[in-house]
Amino acid sequence: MNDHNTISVGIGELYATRDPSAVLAAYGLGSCVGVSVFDPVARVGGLAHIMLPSSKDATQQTSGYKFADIAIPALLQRLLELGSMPRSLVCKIAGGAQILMAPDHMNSFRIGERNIEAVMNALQQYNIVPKAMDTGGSHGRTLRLLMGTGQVLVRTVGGDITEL
Amino acid sequence: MKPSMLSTASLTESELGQLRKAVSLGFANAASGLSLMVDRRITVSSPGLRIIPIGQVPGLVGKPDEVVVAAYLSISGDAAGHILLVLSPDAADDLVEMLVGYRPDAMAALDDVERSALGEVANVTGSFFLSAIADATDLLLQPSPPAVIVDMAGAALDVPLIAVAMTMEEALVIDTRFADDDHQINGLFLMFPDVASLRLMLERMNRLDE
Repeated sequence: MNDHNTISVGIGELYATRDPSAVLAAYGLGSCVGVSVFDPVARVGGLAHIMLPSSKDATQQTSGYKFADIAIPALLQRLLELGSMPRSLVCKIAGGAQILMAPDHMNSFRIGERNIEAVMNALQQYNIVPKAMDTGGSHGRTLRLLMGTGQVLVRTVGGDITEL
Repeated sequence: MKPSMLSTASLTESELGQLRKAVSLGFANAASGLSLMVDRRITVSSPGLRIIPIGQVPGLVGKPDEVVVAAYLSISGDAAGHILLVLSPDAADDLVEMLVGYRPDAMAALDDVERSALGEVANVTGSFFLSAIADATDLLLQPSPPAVIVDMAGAALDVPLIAVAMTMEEALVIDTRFADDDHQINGLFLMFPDVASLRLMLERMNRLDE
Protein backbone atom coordinates (compact mmCIF):
# COMPACT_ATOMS: atom_id res chain seq x y z
CA MET A 1 0.00 0.00 0.00
CA ASN A 2 1.26 3.44 -0.85
CA ASP A 3 1.65 5.20 2.48
CA HIS A 4 2.92 8.37 0.92
CA ASN A 5 -0.02 10.52 1.92
CA THR A 6 -0.99 8.60 4.99
CA ILE A 7 -2.11 10.78 7.86
CA SER A 8 -1.97 8.99 11.18
CA VAL A 9 -4.88 9.96 13.40
CA GLY A 10 -3.56 9.24 16.88
CA ILE A 11 -5.43 8.18 19.97
CA GLY A 12 -7.83 10.96 21.01
CA GLU A 13 -7.38 12.89 17.74
CA LEU A 14 -9.59 13.65 14.77
CA TYR A 15 -8.86 14.80 11.23
CA ALA A 16 -10.99 15.94 8.29
CA THR A 17 -9.88 16.72 4.76
CA ARG A 18 -10.85 17.24 1.11
CA ASP A 19 -7.51 15.96 -0.17
CA PRO A 20 -8.22 13.03 -2.54
CA SER A 21 -4.67 11.73 -2.22
CA ALA A 22 -4.90 11.40 1.57
CA VAL A 23 -5.26 8.13 3.44
CA LEU A 24 -6.48 8.67 7.00
CA ALA A 25 -5.36 5.91 9.35
CA ALA A 26 -6.10 4.94 12.94
CA TYR A 27 -3.45 2.37 13.86
CA GLY A 28 -3.71 -0.28 16.52
CA LEU A 29 -7.28 0.28 17.68
CA GLY A 30 -7.87 -1.88 20.74
CA SER A 31 -10.77 -0.79 22.91
CA CYS A 32 -10.61 2.49 20.99
CA VAL A 33 -13.02 3.08 18.12
CA GLY A 34 -12.13 4.49 14.70
CA VAL A 35 -15.06 6.43 13.24
CA SER A 36 -14.73 7.25 9.55
CA VAL A 37 -17.20 9.52 7.79
CA PHE A 38 -17.11 10.15 4.04
CA ASP A 39 -19.29 12.26 1.76
CA PRO A 40 -19.08 10.68 -1.71
CA VAL A 41 -20.72 13.72 -3.33
CA ALA A 42 -18.65 16.50 -1.81
CA ARG A 43 -15.57 14.19 -1.58
CA VAL A 44 -14.98 15.22 2.01
CA GLY A 45 -13.97 12.78 4.70
CA GLY A 46 -12.78 12.51 8.26
CA LEU A 47 -11.68 10.11 10.94
CA ALA A 48 -11.87 10.19 14.75
CA HIS A 49 -9.85 7.88 17.05
CA ILE A 50 -12.06 7.67 20.12
CA MET A 51 -10.89 6.34 23.47
CA LEU A 52 -13.66 6.80 26.02
CA PRO A 53 -17.47 6.91 25.95
CA SER A 54 -18.41 10.11 27.68
CA SER A 55 -16.86 13.34 28.88
CA LYS A 56 -19.26 13.05 31.84
CA ASP A 57 -17.12 10.15 33.11
CA ALA A 58 -14.08 12.37 33.42
CA THR A 59 -13.19 12.94 37.04
CA GLN A 60 -12.20 16.46 36.12
CA GLN A 61 -12.75 18.74 33.18
CA THR A 62 -10.59 17.69 30.28
CA SER A 63 -10.83 18.78 26.71
CA GLY A 64 -9.93 16.94 23.56
CA TYR A 65 -11.49 14.51 21.20
CA LYS A 66 -10.90 11.36 23.19
CA PHE A 67 -14.57 11.19 24.23
CA ALA A 68 -17.26 9.93 21.83
CA ASP A 69 -19.76 12.59 22.93
CA ILE A 70 -17.31 15.38 22.03
CA ALA A 71 -15.49 13.87 19.06
CA ILE A 72 -18.53 12.88 16.97
CA PRO A 73 -20.19 16.34 16.93
CA ALA A 74 -16.77 17.96 16.32
CA LEU A 75 -15.99 15.62 13.42
CA LEU A 76 -19.38 16.22 11.77
CA GLN A 77 -18.98 19.98 12.26
CA ARG A 78 -15.58 19.89 10.51
CA LEU A 79 -17.05 17.96 7.61
CA LEU A 80 -19.90 20.47 7.26
CA GLU A 81 -17.38 23.29 7.23
CA LEU A 82 -15.54 21.50 4.43
CA GLY A 83 -18.73 21.37 2.39
CA SER A 84 -20.33 18.02 3.14
CA MET A 85 -24.08 17.49 3.23
CA PRO A 86 -25.40 15.72 6.36
CA ARG A 87 -27.65 13.49 4.25
CA SER A 88 -24.90 12.07 2.06
CA LEU A 89 -22.50 11.07 4.87
CA VAL A 90 -21.38 7.45 4.89
CA CYS A 91 -20.10 6.32 8.26
CA LYS A 92 -18.08 3.16 8.93
CA ILE A 93 -16.59 2.16 12.25
CA ALA A 94 -14.07 -0.34 13.59
CA GLY A 95 -12.57 -1.18 16.98
CA GLY A 96 -14.14 -1.44 20.41
CA ALA A 97 -12.49 -4.74 21.27
CA GLN A 98 -12.16 -6.16 24.76
CA ILE A 99 -8.39 -6.55 25.02
CA LEU A 100 -8.27 -7.72 28.62
CA MET A 101 -10.46 -10.70 29.35
CA ALA A 102 -9.33 -11.09 32.96
CA PRO A 103 -11.91 -10.05 35.55
CA ASP A 104 -9.15 -8.53 37.73
CA HIS A 105 -8.92 -5.46 35.57
CA MET A 106 -12.08 -3.54 36.27
CA ASN A 107 -10.91 -0.18 34.99
CA SER A 108 -11.17 -1.44 31.48
CA PHE A 109 -14.36 -3.41 32.12
CA ARG A 110 -16.43 -3.55 28.91
CA ILE A 111 -14.77 -0.31 27.79
CA GLY A 112 -14.74 -1.33 24.12
CA GLU A 113 -18.41 -2.22 24.19
CA ARG A 114 -19.29 1.02 25.99
CA ASN A 115 -17.27 2.99 23.44
CA ILE A 116 -19.28 1.45 20.58
CA GLU A 117 -22.55 2.20 22.39
CA ALA A 118 -21.52 5.81 22.94
CA VAL A 119 -20.43 6.24 19.31
CA MET A 120 -23.76 4.84 18.08
CA ASN A 121 -25.70 7.14 20.43
CA ALA A 122 -23.73 10.21 19.37
CA LEU A 123 -24.24 9.37 15.68
CA GLN A 124 -27.95 8.81 16.25
CA GLN A 125 -28.30 12.43 17.37
CA TYR A 126 -27.50 13.28 13.76
CA ASN A 127 -29.61 10.46 12.30
CA ILE A 128 -26.52 8.62 11.16
CA VAL A 129 -26.44 4.83 11.23
CA PRO A 130 -23.07 3.26 10.38
CA LYS A 131 -23.18 1.59 6.99
CA ALA A 132 -20.59 -0.98 8.04
CA MET A 133 -18.93 -2.01 11.28
CA ASP A 134 -16.14 -4.31 12.36
CA THR A 135 -16.31 -4.10 16.13
CA GLY A 136 -15.97 -6.11 19.33
CA GLY A 137 -14.01 -9.30 19.70
CA SER A 138 -10.68 -9.29 21.49
CA HIS A 139 -8.16 -8.25 18.86
CA GLY A 140 -6.62 -5.03 17.59
CA ARG A 141 -7.43 -3.39 14.26
CA THR A 142 -6.12 -0.68 11.96
CA LEU A 143 -8.67 1.36 10.02
CA ARG A 144 -7.83 3.30 6.87
CA LEU A 145 -10.06 5.71 4.94
CA LEU A 146 -8.91 6.16 1.35
CA MET A 147 -10.01 9.66 0.42
CA GLY A 148 -9.66 9.03 -3.31
CA THR A 149 -12.36 6.38 -3.35
CA GLY A 150 -14.03 6.56 0.04
CA GLN A 151 -13.06 2.96 0.67
CA VAL A 152 -12.55 1.89 4.27
CA LEU A 153 -10.04 -0.90 4.90
CA VAL A 154 -9.59 -2.73 8.17
CA ARG A 155 -6.51 -4.76 8.96
CA THR A 156 -6.67 -7.15 11.89
CA VAL A 157 -3.80 -8.31 14.05
CA GLY A 158 -3.46 -11.45 11.95
CA GLY A 159 -2.62 -9.28 8.95
CA ASP A 160 -5.80 -9.79 6.93
CA ILE A 161 -7.18 -6.69 5.22
CA THR A 162 -10.90 -6.45 4.54
CA GLU A 163 -12.96 -3.70 3.02
CA LEU A 164 -15.83 -2.45 5.13
CA MET B 1 10.71 19.17 30.52
CA LYS B 2 8.38 21.86 31.79
CA PRO B 3 6.74 20.79 35.05
CA SER B 4 3.76 23.02 34.33
CA MET B 5 2.78 20.75 31.45
CA LEU B 6 1.21 18.24 33.77
CA SER B 7 -1.85 20.22 34.70
CA THR B 8 -2.74 18.47 37.92
CA ALA B 9 0.70 17.71 39.27
CA SER B 10 3.17 20.47 38.80
CA LEU B 11 6.38 18.74 39.65
CA THR B 12 9.47 20.71 40.50
CA GLU B 13 12.87 19.75 39.14
CA SER B 14 13.89 18.41 42.55
CA GLU B 15 10.73 16.31 42.79
CA LEU B 16 11.43 14.89 39.35
CA GLY B 17 14.95 14.09 40.54
CA GLN B 18 13.59 12.33 43.61
CA LEU B 19 11.18 10.37 41.52
CA ARG B 20 13.89 9.39 39.07
CA LYS B 21 16.04 8.12 41.94
CA ALA B 22 13.19 6.02 43.34
CA VAL B 23 12.23 4.48 40.01
CA SER B 24 15.89 3.77 39.19
CA LEU B 25 16.05 1.70 42.37
CA GLY B 26 12.77 0.07 41.40
CA PHE B 27 13.96 -0.85 37.91
CA ALA B 28 17.30 -2.14 39.23
CA ASN B 29 15.39 -4.36 41.62
CA ALA B 30 13.06 -5.51 38.82
CA ALA B 31 16.13 -6.42 36.75
CA SER B 32 17.51 -8.51 39.63
CA GLY B 33 14.19 -10.30 39.83
CA LEU B 34 14.29 -11.10 36.13
CA SER B 35 17.97 -12.12 36.38
CA LEU B 36 17.07 -14.65 39.06
CA MET B 37 14.32 -16.09 36.87
CA VAL B 38 16.36 -16.51 33.70
CA ASP B 39 19.72 -17.02 35.42
CA ARG B 40 21.60 -14.43 33.41
CA ARG B 41 22.61 -10.83 33.91
CA ILE B 42 19.92 -8.27 33.02
CA THR B 43 20.71 -4.59 32.83
CA VAL B 44 18.34 -1.63 32.67
CA SER B 45 18.85 1.69 30.95
CA SER B 46 18.56 4.88 32.96
CA PRO B 47 14.84 5.55 33.23
CA GLY B 48 13.04 8.14 31.16
CA LEU B 49 10.45 10.30 32.90
CA ARG B 50 8.25 11.92 30.31
CA ILE B 51 5.15 14.02 30.48
CA ILE B 52 3.68 13.75 27.01
CA PRO B 53 0.25 14.01 25.36
CA ILE B 54 -1.57 10.70 25.60
CA GLY B 55 -1.64 10.49 21.79
CA GLN B 56 2.15 10.33 21.70
CA VAL B 57 2.55 7.46 24.15
CA PRO B 58 2.15 4.64 21.57
CA GLY B 59 5.11 6.16 19.69
CA LEU B 60 7.37 5.21 22.61
CA VAL B 61 6.82 1.56 21.80
CA GLY B 62 7.25 1.81 18.05
CA LYS B 63 4.73 1.38 15.28
CA PRO B 64 1.28 1.19 16.83
CA ASP B 65 0.06 -1.62 14.56
CA GLU B 66 3.08 -3.85 14.99
CA VAL B 67 2.39 -6.98 17.02
CA VAL B 68 3.88 -7.06 20.50
CA VAL B 69 3.68 -9.36 23.47
CA ALA B 70 2.75 -7.31 26.50
CA ALA B 71 1.94 -8.06 30.10
CA TYR B 72 -0.21 -5.69 32.08
CA LEU B 73 -0.45 -5.19 35.84
CA SER B 74 -2.45 -2.61 37.70
CA ILE B 75 -1.18 -1.24 40.99
CA SER B 76 -3.43 -0.84 43.99
CA GLY B 77 -3.05 -0.25 47.70
CA ASP B 78 -1.96 3.15 49.05
CA ALA B 79 -1.15 4.32 45.53
CA ALA B 80 -2.46 3.49 42.08
CA GLY B 81 -0.91 3.10 38.68
CA HIS B 82 -0.28 0.78 35.75
CA ILE B 83 2.62 -1.30 34.56
CA LEU B 84 3.05 -2.62 31.03
CA LEU B 85 5.93 -4.84 30.00
CA VAL B 86 6.39 -4.84 26.22
CA LEU B 87 8.42 -7.37 24.22
CA SER B 88 8.79 -8.12 20.54
CA PRO B 89 7.32 -11.54 19.64
CA ASP B 90 10.88 -12.83 19.10
CA ALA B 91 12.08 -11.64 22.48
CA ALA B 92 9.00 -13.14 24.13
CA ASP B 93 9.72 -16.50 22.45
CA ASP B 94 13.33 -16.33 23.67
CA LEU B 95 12.14 -15.62 27.17
CA VAL B 96 9.65 -18.48 27.13
CA GLU B 97 12.35 -20.83 25.85
CA MET B 98 14.63 -19.85 28.74
CA LEU B 99 11.87 -20.43 31.25
CA VAL B 100 10.10 -23.55 30.04
CA GLY B 101 12.81 -25.19 27.92
CA TYR B 102 11.10 -25.13 24.52
CA ARG B 103 10.48 -22.49 21.93
CA PRO B 104 6.87 -21.53 21.18
CA ASP B 105 5.69 -22.18 17.63
CA ALA B 106 6.10 -18.79 16.00
CA MET B 107 3.00 -19.26 13.85
CA ALA B 108 0.69 -20.39 16.62
CA ALA B 109 -0.99 -18.39 19.35
CA LEU B 110 0.69 -18.62 22.74
CA ASP B 111 -0.62 -21.53 24.76
CA ASP B 112 -1.46 -21.43 28.47
CA VAL B 113 1.99 -22.56 29.59
CA GLU B 114 3.67 -19.88 27.50
CA ARG B 115 1.24 -17.22 28.66
CA SER B 116 1.69 -18.11 32.29
CA ALA B 117 5.49 -18.06 31.89
CA LEU B 118 5.31 -14.52 30.50
CA GLY B 119 2.76 -13.57 33.15
CA GLU B 120 5.20 -14.79 35.77
CA VAL B 121 7.93 -12.60 34.27
CA ALA B 122 5.63 -9.59 34.60
CA ASN B 123 4.64 -10.68 38.08
CA VAL B 124 8.23 -10.94 39.28
CA THR B 125 9.52 -7.77 37.60
CA GLY B 126 6.42 -5.82 38.71
CA SER B 127 6.60 -7.07 42.30
CA PHE B 128 10.34 -6.40 42.57
CA PHE B 129 9.83 -2.92 41.13
CA LEU B 130 6.99 -2.14 43.51
CA SER B 131 8.72 -3.50 46.59
CA ALA B 132 11.64 -1.11 46.00
CA ILE B 133 9.21 1.80 45.61
CA ALA B 134 7.27 0.64 48.67
CA ASP B 135 10.49 0.61 50.70
CA ALA B 136 11.37 4.13 49.58
CA THR B 137 7.91 5.48 50.42
CA ASP B 138 6.67 3.21 53.20
CA LEU B 139 3.48 2.70 51.22
CA LEU B 140 1.60 -0.51 50.58
CA LEU B 141 1.70 -1.21 46.83
CA GLN B 142 0.14 -4.32 45.38
CA PRO B 143 0.31 -5.61 41.83
CA SER B 144 -2.77 -7.24 40.29
CA PRO B 145 -2.44 -10.65 38.66
CA PRO B 146 -0.77 -10.18 35.28
CA ALA B 147 -2.70 -10.21 32.01
CA VAL B 148 -0.75 -11.24 28.90
CA ILE B 149 -1.73 -9.48 25.68
CA VAL B 150 -0.58 -10.51 22.20
CA ASP B 151 -1.82 -7.77 19.92
CA MET B 152 -0.99 -4.56 18.08
CA ALA B 153 1.09 -2.23 20.26
CA GLY B 154 -1.63 0.41 20.11
CA ALA B 155 -4.25 -2.05 21.30
CA ALA B 156 -2.08 -3.15 24.23
CA LEU B 157 -1.42 0.48 25.19
CA ASP B 158 -5.14 1.27 25.15
CA VAL B 159 -5.36 -0.69 28.38
CA PRO B 160 -3.33 1.66 30.63
CA LEU B 161 -4.09 4.75 28.56
CA ILE B 162 -7.87 4.63 28.97
CA ALA B 163 -7.37 4.80 32.73
CA VAL B 164 -4.92 7.69 32.43
CA ALA B 165 -7.17 9.55 29.99
CA MET B 166 -10.08 9.64 32.45
CA THR B 167 -8.33 12.38 34.39
CA MET B 168 -5.47 13.64 32.26
CA GLU B 169 -4.61 15.18 28.93
CA GLU B 170 -1.05 14.12 29.35
CA ALA B 171 0.49 10.97 30.66
CA LEU B 172 3.43 10.74 32.99
CA VAL B 173 5.32 7.80 31.57
CA ILE B 174 8.27 6.22 33.28
CA ASP B 175 10.12 3.89 30.96
CA THR B 176 13.26 1.84 30.79
CA ARG B 177 14.74 -0.67 28.38
CA PHE B 178 16.05 -3.90 29.80
CA ALA B 179 18.34 -6.37 28.10
CA ASP B 180 20.71 -9.23 28.80
CA ASP B 181 24.34 -9.03 27.70
CA ASP B 182 23.81 -10.47 24.23
CA HIS B 183 20.53 -8.60 23.76
CA GLN B 184 18.48 -11.73 23.38
CA ILE B 185 16.05 -10.53 26.01
CA ASN B 186 15.23 -6.97 25.15
CA GLY B 187 12.14 -5.13 26.15
CA LEU B 188 10.44 -2.07 27.49
CA PHE B 189 9.07 -1.55 30.97
CA LEU B 190 6.46 1.21 31.16
CA MET B 191 4.90 2.58 34.30
CA PHE B 192 2.07 5.08 34.52
CA PRO B 193 1.67 6.37 38.07
CA ASP B 194 -1.64 7.84 39.06
CA VAL B 195 -1.05 11.55 39.55
CA ALA B 196 -2.76 11.80 42.95
CA SER B 197 -0.62 8.87 44.11
CA LEU B 198 2.48 10.61 42.83
CA ARG B 199 1.92 13.47 45.29
CA LEU B 200 1.60 11.01 48.13
CA MET B 201 4.73 9.14 47.07
CA LEU B 202 6.75 12.36 46.95
CA GLU B 203 5.49 13.45 50.38
CA ARG B 204 6.46 10.10 51.84
CA MET B 205 9.91 10.22 50.28
CA ASN B 206 10.45 13.68 51.76
CA ARG B 207 9.30 12.57 55.17
CA LEU B 208 11.54 9.50 55.14
CA ASP B 209 14.50 11.61 53.99
CA GLU B 210 14.21 13.97 56.96
